[in-house]
This record gives sequence, C-alpha cells and structure tokens, in this order.
Amino acid sequence: MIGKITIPFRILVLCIYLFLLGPMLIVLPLSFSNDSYLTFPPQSWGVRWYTAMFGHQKLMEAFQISLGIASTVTVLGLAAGLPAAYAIRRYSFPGRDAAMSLFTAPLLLPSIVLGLAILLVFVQARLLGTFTGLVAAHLIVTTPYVIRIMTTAFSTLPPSVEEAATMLGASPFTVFRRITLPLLMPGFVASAALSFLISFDEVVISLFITGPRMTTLPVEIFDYVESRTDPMTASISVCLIAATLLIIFIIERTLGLSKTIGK
Amino acid sequence: MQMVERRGASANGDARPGDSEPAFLKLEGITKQYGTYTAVDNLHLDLPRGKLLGLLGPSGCGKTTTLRMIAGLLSVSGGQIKVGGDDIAQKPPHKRDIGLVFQNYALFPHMTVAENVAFGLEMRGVAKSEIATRVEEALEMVRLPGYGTRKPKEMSGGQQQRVSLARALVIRPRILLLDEPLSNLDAKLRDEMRVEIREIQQRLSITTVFVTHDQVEALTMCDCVGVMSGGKLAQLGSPEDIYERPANLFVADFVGRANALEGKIEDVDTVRFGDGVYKCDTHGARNGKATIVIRPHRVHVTPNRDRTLVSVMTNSVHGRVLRVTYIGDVVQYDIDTGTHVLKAEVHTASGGHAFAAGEKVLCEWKPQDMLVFAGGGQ
Amino acid sequence: MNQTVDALSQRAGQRRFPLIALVLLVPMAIINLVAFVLPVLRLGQISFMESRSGGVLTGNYSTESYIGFLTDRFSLDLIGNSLFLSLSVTFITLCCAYPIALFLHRVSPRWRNVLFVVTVSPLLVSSVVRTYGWMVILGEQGFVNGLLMSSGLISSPLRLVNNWMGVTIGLVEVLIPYMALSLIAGFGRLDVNLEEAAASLGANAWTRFRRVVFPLTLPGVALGCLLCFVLSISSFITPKLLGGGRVFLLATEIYDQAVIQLEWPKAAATSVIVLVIFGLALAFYSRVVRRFE
Repeated sequence: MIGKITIPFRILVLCIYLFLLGPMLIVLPLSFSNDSYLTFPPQSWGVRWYTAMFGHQKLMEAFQISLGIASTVTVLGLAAGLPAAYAIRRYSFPGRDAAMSLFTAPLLLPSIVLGLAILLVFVQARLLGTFTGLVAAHLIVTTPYVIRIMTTAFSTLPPSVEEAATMLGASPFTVFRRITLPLLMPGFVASAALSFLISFDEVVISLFITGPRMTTLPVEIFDYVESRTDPMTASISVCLIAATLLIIFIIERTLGLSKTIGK
Repeated sequence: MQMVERRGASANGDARPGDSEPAFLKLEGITKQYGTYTAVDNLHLDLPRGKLLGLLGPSGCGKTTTLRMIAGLLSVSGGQIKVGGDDIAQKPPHKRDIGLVFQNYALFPHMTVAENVAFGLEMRGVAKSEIATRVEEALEMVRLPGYGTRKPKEMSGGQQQRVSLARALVIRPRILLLDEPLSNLDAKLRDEMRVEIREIQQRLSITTVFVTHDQVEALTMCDCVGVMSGGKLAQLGSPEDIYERPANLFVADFVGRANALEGKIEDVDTVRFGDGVYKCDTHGARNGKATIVIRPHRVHVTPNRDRTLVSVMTNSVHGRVLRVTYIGDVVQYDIDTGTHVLKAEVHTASGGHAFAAGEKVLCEWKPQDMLVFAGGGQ
Repeated sequence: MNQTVDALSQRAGQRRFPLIALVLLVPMAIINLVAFVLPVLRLGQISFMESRSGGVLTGNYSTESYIGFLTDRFSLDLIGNSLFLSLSVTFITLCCAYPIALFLHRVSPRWRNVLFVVTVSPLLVSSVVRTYGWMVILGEQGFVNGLLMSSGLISSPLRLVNNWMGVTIGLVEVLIPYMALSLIAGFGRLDVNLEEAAASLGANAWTRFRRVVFPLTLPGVALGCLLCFVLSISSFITPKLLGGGRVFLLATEIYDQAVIQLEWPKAAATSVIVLVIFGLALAFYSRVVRRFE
C-alpha cells in the first residue's frame, strides 16, 4: 500500500517521458518528408532528404572528419587515461589527490569558457582548424570520464587477485591478459564508448576551433540548422540517434549501462 | 612439468619426516628494509619437510612481510630463502612453485570455481583431460565436489576459502603459505576450518607456513610456532615450548594470559615480590630485578587458611577477591594481595568452591609455574 | 597487520615508485597542461589585456574589460537574464525530474534498469539534434502549431520558438537527465519503512511526502539544482538555436564577442564573470548542504 505506484502518478511520469523523448521521436516522421521546408505534418512523403544528405559533400566530409577525430580521441584518451588511472589507484605519491582533481577538473568548467580558453591558446599555437587541435581539445573533455571510470574499475580489482595468479605460475603478461584485462573490460568498454560518443557529439568547443578547412559533423549541422530550415537535419538526426541507440544497446547488453555509468 | 609431478609425489610419499631431517625451507638472514625502517630483521628459520610452521605475532611484527618474501611478492633486502637446498630469493614469484592462500581468498571473480582451480594447472601446461580430473579431486579434498560450475560470488565465505585452498594445493606446490586464512570467517566456521586445514596439510604432508595473529590457531594447528616481534623471531619452538617455556617476557605475555609481576631475585631458587618470598627456578640468576610471570589458570584459589600449613603447591599468598567474571567454562578472579592484583582462572567443571567478591582466599602455585625473566620491566 | 604492510609498502612506494608513476602520468599531464591549464591561465591573462577597436591587443594590461562590462546597461541585463533563466529552468527541471526519480525508486528492479537507460540515454544524443527536435515541435509550422491549427483552435501560428519560452522548454528537456541522475543518487536514503512508520503514526499520503520523503531527498535535490543551474547559465547551443538571435545570455555573448567581434579581452572577462557566478553557486550549495548535516 505504502510507496505504491498509483495510476495518476503513472500517467504523470509517462507524460514527462514523452516530453523528454519528444524531440528525438518527432524527427523520425519528419525525416521522411518530401517537402522543401519544415512543415508538420509533412505534405508529401519520401526519402528525398536522405538522398540529399548522402549527396551533401560538405556534410559527408565533416562526418568522416568527426569519425576520424572520435576514433583518435578514443584511442589516445584510453592510452593516456588508463596508465594515469592505474598510477593514481596503485601507487602512492605526493600530490596523488591533486592529480586526480586536476585530471577531472575540465568537467567542472563550462564548455563555452573552456572553448574560448582553448581558442586563445590554440590561435597562438596555430592549431585552429587542424585535426591535432580538435583531437587535443576533445581529449580534455573525454579523459575525465576515462579517469573516473577506470579508477573505479581499478579500485574494484584488488591486487591480491593478481598476486594469486602470479603464485599459481602466471607470468606478468599472462596475469595481465587472463586476470587484469578481463576484469577491467567493463570499465574499458564503457570508457571507450563514452569517449567516442562525447567526442563525436562535441559541438561547443569545436565551434571555437574549427575552421573552413576542418569542420566536424555537429558543427556542420549546427551551421545548417542556424541558416536553413529544411527537413534534411531530421534525416541526419535519425541516423545519429540510431547510431547512438545501437551503441547504448550494445553496451547495455554486454555490460549494463546502469552499472558502468551509474557508479 | 615432470619435475613438479615427481616432487609432488615424493612429498606425498614421505609419510612422517623425523625432526632430525634437514630443513626443507630455510630462511637465512632474510631482511626487509623500507628506507630506514626494518620490517624484518635478519631472520633465520629452519622448517623440516612436511611440517606446519605458525608465524605468530601482533600487527606490524613482520610476519606477513616474511610470508610475502617467501612467496616472492616482496623482494628481499638481504638474505637467502632456500627450498630443498636452492636459493629462490631472486626467483620471480611465478616460477617459485609455492601455493598461497590469501586472507580475502582472492578468487578470480570472472571465472567459475573449476576455472579458478584449473588456472595453476593450465599455467603448467597440464593436459586438458588431466586438469578435469585433478580439479575434481581437489574440490573433493576440500569437500566441495560438484561445485565447479559456480561463480565465487555465489558461495559463502567458508566455501570460498576452501576453493582458495584447493586452488593453491592442486598445483602440488613445494610449499604452502597461508596468510591469516581464517580471520574473515565466523568463530564456528573458524574452528571447523582449523581442523580441516590441519588434516589436509598432514594428509599431503606439505611443508606449510601459516601466518596468524591468533594464538589459539598457532598453538592448536602447528608443529612449531615462531613468535615474531619487531621484525625479529622472539622464539621458535613447539607449541608446548612456546607456552610452557617462553624464551622471553614478550612471548610469555603475548601467548596466553599472564600475570606479569615486578620483583627481585634473591637466590637461584628464590624470588621476592610484594611482601612474600617464593620458590622457583631463576635459571642461575642470583640477584637483580626480574619480571615474574604466572599463568592465571595455574593459580589455585582455595578458601582462606593459614599459609604456613605445608602444601604441595609450595608458593602461596593471601588475598581478597576484587572481581568475579563468569565466562562459562572458567571463572576469572581478580585477587588483591595487598601489593598486586593477581588474576586467577578456575574451571567451573572442577567443582571447586565458587568465591564471591570481597571474600578472603589463599592463592597457591607451584615453583615450576613461575616464569622468571631477569631484568624486570618490559 | 595488512594495513601496516600497506602503509609500509606505500611509504616505500614514495621512494621507489615515483619514477614509474611519473611515467604513467606524463601523457595525461601533457594533455591536461596543453588543453586545460595553459588555456585557463591564458584566459585569465587576456581578460586583463587592453585592446583597440577590432580586437587588436595593445600589450598593455588594464581592467577596462571588466569595468566596461560591469558599467554597461546591456551587460548587466545579460547577467540578470541569465540568472533569471537559469533559476526558472532549474525549478521547472526539478518539478519534471522529481516524479521520474521517485518512480524509478519505487518501480520493480527490472523496469528500473530499462527506465534508467531511457532516462540517461538522451545525454548521449547530440544536443544539436535534440534542440532541432524542439524546433520541429515548436516551430511556426511545427508539430504543436500544426495540431492546433488543423483542429481549428487557433487561426494563426503561436510564437513558441525564437523567444524565452522556446529556450526554457529546450533547456528543461536537456537538463532533465542530469537532474534525474542527481536525484536518484540522493534517493538511496529513502527507505519504505520510514514511510510505513509515518503512516502508522497517522500521516496521510501528502503529509508523508511533505514531512518524510521530500526532506530525506533534499541533498539530492540540492545537488541536482546546483548542476542544472551551472549547466543552464553556461548553456549555449539551446539558447543560440531556439532563441533565434533574440535571446541574449552570458554564454551567447561570450561566443559573439570572441568569434564575431573578435574582442578577446571582453570575451575572456565575461567568461571570468561566469566562473565567478559558478563559484558563488558552489559556495551557496556547500552552505546549504552543511545545513542538512
């Protein structure tokens, strides 16, 4: 009786979920509009804007660039974040807590401020509108997540488990391959997926440091939405949402999203 | 691989090694230094094949450090660790062929029980078919047959401990190390596991080092006990030696309960404390300060009477009962002798007189129950 | 014993391991230095630099950017607008997210996991996409107006977007997952036994909520509000797209100053002012939280 879920409460929650998911649901019907302008409901139906999207050269270039940046950021972020998380969890050294705070601090800074700050330094370093510059800027927003997830993963892996494997005759490499790596896998996959998604979707900082030569997909979409109101954005959105859902689904099926992000 | 097999077989074949047998595990002056702090200080220790050695001591005495050095998980700062004559001090831990059971079990959480137990065999390249039989044998040995498909987290603490033991033993290690294996179990289970570990150890006749801070474990399970303090071996001996003939005040005080009384040596067979003079063996000392240790359960408490009456106990002192603590199998008395407070323990089953607080009593004890440590103070 | 050993090996680690630890930390430290520490320092430095018209730096230091900002009517309006928007968005977000969190707390574990993913997944979808969705829903020829017009309730489209209304709705939707996550974390203290105890003492459903449930979840509420306030005061994409150039906030001003007017010292000074508001919000939050304890 107490703490039971009543029908009105159920309906209220349903409405809030509709509100929350509405913007993501609405683009699906619109993406199949054949109209030249954004009208809802569409006057005519078809895949005109999907075709247009794939034929839009600048968009496709931006997509490839974003893919490249997100992959690079994922790999480099793990390569830098994993050892750092290991050092923070497994070694004791002066300034360990400070290092942890410093590495996760970029999360606290508003991205509009961080974007400007990065612009001010990168303009001097001639990194504006370059692949390197975008990767470096994205790394600063993805690595805090890597560090957080991986330090948690390391702290749930007691050293004695690795020692036990050693005592049973496993060489250091075998210990890493058979014990450490499998036990870190959930955190590893979560870090990688999150890094990729965050980098691929990053727009505020990118707006400051992309240039005409090098622009990312979200920036391109942003510019497009700002200047045009045709339904092509809906088609792009559907593709992006589908890809995101696929990634979430895979993580959820293999690891459990609530377990990996909830902690 | 063949070597390991044969070694295991010969260890099994050696039914009852005599005390005269040469040491199988030999620690020769091993030392562990952390900066200026010495955790283990020039430790020498011999353990014959098939024996169970208990390393007993308070927190920070260096017993776990010693164990981890034998295991190879800590490097030695100096000294040699010899197993069957070869120095292994510089060998990496995974080549030492030593089984280790951890305090927190350290089972691999992502593997089943069978996979856990099989891990060491896999590392040794044992054939798949043989692994299966040996894993099942090992699980039977720890009374967990058929549990192979479970995950560690589906098992109780005691079961996990057994798996951990099976995993360490299935590789037929040259030496088995147990690091406080019972401290995470509840009291009843601890009693059971104590017996079980001892039985398995004796059946396999495996040379074993057991680290514990619990004197009951050390005294009941081990062939010999090494009491450690401040990185040094305070005494090495049989459980009886340790309890009845402690080499120094630290051991006397740490192992078992003790009345430690400040007194003076009067002659080779006489000491004085408080107002009385008592007969004992001073081990040749003729004078000087001394600390006298009497075990509470060796103090006989009798109704008040004239102490000049001759008794078999020889030593006696008058006192008044300050406090009575009923524990079940024994009653503890705190007895005020005027100059000291003496603790005495009386078995309730003995049918002896039960005294009340405030009652006058006579405490008696035998000369051999007084342990005299010349020098006094701690 | 183990603690002692750990402490000892840690003490040893301070002498023996810094080299390894240092090597492991170097890549991360370089990233942090290049893309965080240096930029933030440079931001502070430039905010105190003088610039001529057109944004050319003269090389002299002055506080003109700050004074200029704080004495300008339009700039002060920006602060007021941003504060008002953030506070109202935070409040509405709380009202929307609280039922979700309460529902997740009470629903069976199987549904809880599914709905948790549903609640969090919008965080992983590009904010540009979600904002675009709102343009479709609220636009002149969008979903809502289309529905109302075809039903004959209105004859000309309502202005739901390119104004404060659109920005507010969009921001609330973007922030609900953050608020819900904070609330769920804070709901751990909520035990059904406590509600039962209150009921046994004669409290009706509303009183139980007001006197037991809500007070217990206040720490989560405080955290969620801090997070949403801070995120909305620095939000940029949603106001830029749904405001249609008619909604002026601190964040949009920073972007305009930096990218369009190229007045870096001014943009930097505005950023520092945003950070100061951040700091004040954080200080206020820690005072409130201390009162709970």
